[in-house]
Amino acid sequence: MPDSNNRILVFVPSFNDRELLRPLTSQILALGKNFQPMVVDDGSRAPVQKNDVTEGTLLARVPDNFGLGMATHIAFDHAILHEYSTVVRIDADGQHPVSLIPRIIAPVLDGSADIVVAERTNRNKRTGFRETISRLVRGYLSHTANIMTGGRAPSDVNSGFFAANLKSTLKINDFSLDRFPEPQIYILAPRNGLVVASMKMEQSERKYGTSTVTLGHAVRLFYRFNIFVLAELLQKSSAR
Amino acid sequence: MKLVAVLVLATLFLILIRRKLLQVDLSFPLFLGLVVLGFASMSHDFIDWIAARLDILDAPRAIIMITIAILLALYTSLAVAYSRLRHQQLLLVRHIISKELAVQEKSINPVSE
Repeated sequence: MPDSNNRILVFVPSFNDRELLRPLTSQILALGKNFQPMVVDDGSRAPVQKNDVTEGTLLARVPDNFGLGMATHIAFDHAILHEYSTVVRIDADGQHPVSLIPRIIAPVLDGSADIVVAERTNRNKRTGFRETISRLVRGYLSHTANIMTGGRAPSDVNSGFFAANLKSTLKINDFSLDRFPEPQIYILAPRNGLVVASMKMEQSERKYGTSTVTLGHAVRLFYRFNIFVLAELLQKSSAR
Repeated sequence: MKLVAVLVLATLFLILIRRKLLQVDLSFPLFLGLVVLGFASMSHDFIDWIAARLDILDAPRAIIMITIAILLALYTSLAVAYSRLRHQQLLLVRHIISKELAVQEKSINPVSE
């Protein structure tokens, strides 16, 4: 458990999935007084209201759908400004167990890692055409990240469950994060001297809503990832 | 027919400026250049002269090449302007939300301020 000097900001990006926010924020608050939940509503059609979250939760409402990169920047900006020692991101659809938060922040708090990523052990277990394509794309992203970081990136570069210390948030916040920023973060971190660790996690079934990644988004994600890789190779991690 | 096409282009250009849909900024000379080129290219003497200056053997191609160059310059300047605007928009949204969150933070965790 973190001591009283370590304040943990747990941010939950939300897009049209407010149904689980109240129990989720309650669970985060129940972890202890050092844990501060923050919901970033990324331009939902029906905006998240104060009564959709537990009292004591920070609520940021983005006026339009800017994507997860913007939500991450908002959380990082706030953590830096108010000196939170650690930032944790979890999804709003119930796939990431809140009970794992103390485990994911432990290496960050004891200083053995700057970023910890929860790698999904069951991410390749589904079958079907869509899942096969997803697996191939994930494999490509993972191998590319591995090559670009000399094996220092996590094997699951699409995981949305991570913890980062203040040093990491300061460094990563200097870059312009994309709509789906996870592979970008997990590549930029080791390339900028940050220590990335991972832990295994059995991802729960989605309890609400559907994936925000449509086929169009997936194509865009793939395209943007390759542009990011190209830019990284040509510009060598220049901030913004 | 050529004259009608160029006149329509020039009229559209004027309407856009008068309605302030097209601002007189850095890209304005490029739009103006396209209209001027439209009028100038009706003259065979001008086409031959410009082709000779540019060492282009097939004279009409000179006009096409100049048009492509102006369009490329327009595209580049607009793309740069769009990227800057987008970046500024994102920074502005982050700044506004950061202010709103600071107020919430103060009421939730007054000691952290």
